[in-house]
Amino acid sequence: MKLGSTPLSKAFMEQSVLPDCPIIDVHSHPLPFGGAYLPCFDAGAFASALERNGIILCLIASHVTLSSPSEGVTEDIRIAREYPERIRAWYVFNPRYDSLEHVQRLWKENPATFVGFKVHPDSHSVKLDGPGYAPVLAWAEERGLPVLSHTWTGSACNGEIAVGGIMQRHPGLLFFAGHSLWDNWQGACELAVKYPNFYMELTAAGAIRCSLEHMVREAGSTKILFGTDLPWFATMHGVGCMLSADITDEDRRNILYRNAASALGGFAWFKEGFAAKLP
Amino acid sequence: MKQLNLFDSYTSYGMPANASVNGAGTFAEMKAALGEAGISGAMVIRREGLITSNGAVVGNPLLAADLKAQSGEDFVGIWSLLPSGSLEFLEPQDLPGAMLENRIKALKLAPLTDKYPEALWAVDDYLALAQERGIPLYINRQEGVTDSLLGDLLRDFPKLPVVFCWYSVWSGDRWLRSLARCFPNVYFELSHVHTEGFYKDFITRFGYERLLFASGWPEYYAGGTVLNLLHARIADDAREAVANGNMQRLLKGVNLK
Repeated sequence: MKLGSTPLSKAFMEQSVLPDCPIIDVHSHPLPFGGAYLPCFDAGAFASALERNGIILCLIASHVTLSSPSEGVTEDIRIAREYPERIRAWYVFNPRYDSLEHVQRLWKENPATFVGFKVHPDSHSVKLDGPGYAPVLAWAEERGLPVLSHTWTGSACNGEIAVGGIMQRHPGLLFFAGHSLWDNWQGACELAVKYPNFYMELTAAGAIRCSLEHMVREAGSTKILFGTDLPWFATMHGVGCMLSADITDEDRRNILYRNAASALGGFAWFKEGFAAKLP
Repeated sequence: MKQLNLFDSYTSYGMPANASVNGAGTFAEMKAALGEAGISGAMVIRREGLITSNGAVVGNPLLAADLKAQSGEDFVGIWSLLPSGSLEFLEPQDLPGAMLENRIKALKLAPLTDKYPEALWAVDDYLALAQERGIPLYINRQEGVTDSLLGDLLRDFPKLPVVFCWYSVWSGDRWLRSLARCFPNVYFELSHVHTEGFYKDFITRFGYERLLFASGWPEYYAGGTVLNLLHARIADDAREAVANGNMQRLLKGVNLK
């Protein structure tokens, strides 16, 4: 679609912050990453990026927490406390080292900090549908907590079979499929259609030409969430991709903030801290 | 609405046998798609030439035929090199004239795709010519230009303008910054550089003169790189240079006569 050809597209061509179209980014990773230099890695630069890109809420799982179990979730708690006006943390659960009891204790000790679980089965070499994640997934389903998982086509740990398996076991689970089962968009769409709480998340996936049209056509724009792995991918890059896709402004608004607000809107922390920022 | 005068420093179109790229089959489709993103011209290559079973011997002539059929000079071709001494590619002395005739102003090194030695001696006659004539040379690691080969190339041909392309979803900043620091004639094609804050951070350290906008189309939606540059926290003269000016400066330096 021609850039600037719709009201929302025209507005984003003018400025990056649109009060009437805020952004909720559900997938981000502050702090340094060993495998690549990411300019906005430190918490201050990361928080500034949220502000200049109109992100009213960003859900984080820092690289340190994902990759260094010895550090636990300390850094994510710190960042969420330092920037409560825009940031909440995923609880990164690594079944190799953590337990549900420990999770529950930290959850209690840090109210209004965690939104749900971030799991990265590929990175931790643990199958999503195996026994390691089972207690946490069951607890998440019981409490209605969201789970953001890295998902990738063909992966033994978090591919179609593993993701389909846990959704069959936990059909009510609020599940955010990070990367939308890259690059099996159709497989992700089928799960999104089948399970009411299954959402496709756009990190990297949303940049691939024709992916957005496919997802909107097959599953509807109400089943897609905006995410960028920030700072891996610039927010405006993600938004620009959506402006080029042949979808409507209503679809774009659904993806940029409405769906996340709807999925998270029942939680007290969201009602108290973020609902008033929505148009 | 903010507008940039955008020139894509690397894009491709065509119908490779091993992949479907929706809406990227013909020159007209490419031109229309780039136009929707506000991009008025581009350095182009045929996708057929990016797979080994076709390579340069098929991609180069297909591209030349398309470019010759176009009016205007907004689209400029890139030809892949092959070693000299055969009937399949032009000899060095014949290359400038053929490039001029076919609107080709840049060359590309793809030894992995085109199956020749990943070594400087295989193509050094062309590289000497490119350096002498100011012809930009596109390279990327994924097509067989190893770090070792690149080092040899940049040391032996220090005045050759080299366009470094990074094709990975992982940030290539550590390559970009190393090259920027050590080699002043290396330019950076930015189709796959999407990190938050890249422009300001990189330009603060290395300047904007060697950054070349590229949309990433047809793999990516072109609007992503456009909006990212449009809202980058850099001065407007830097933005314009990245969008268009730096590439035009490189092309002005090409002497094919």
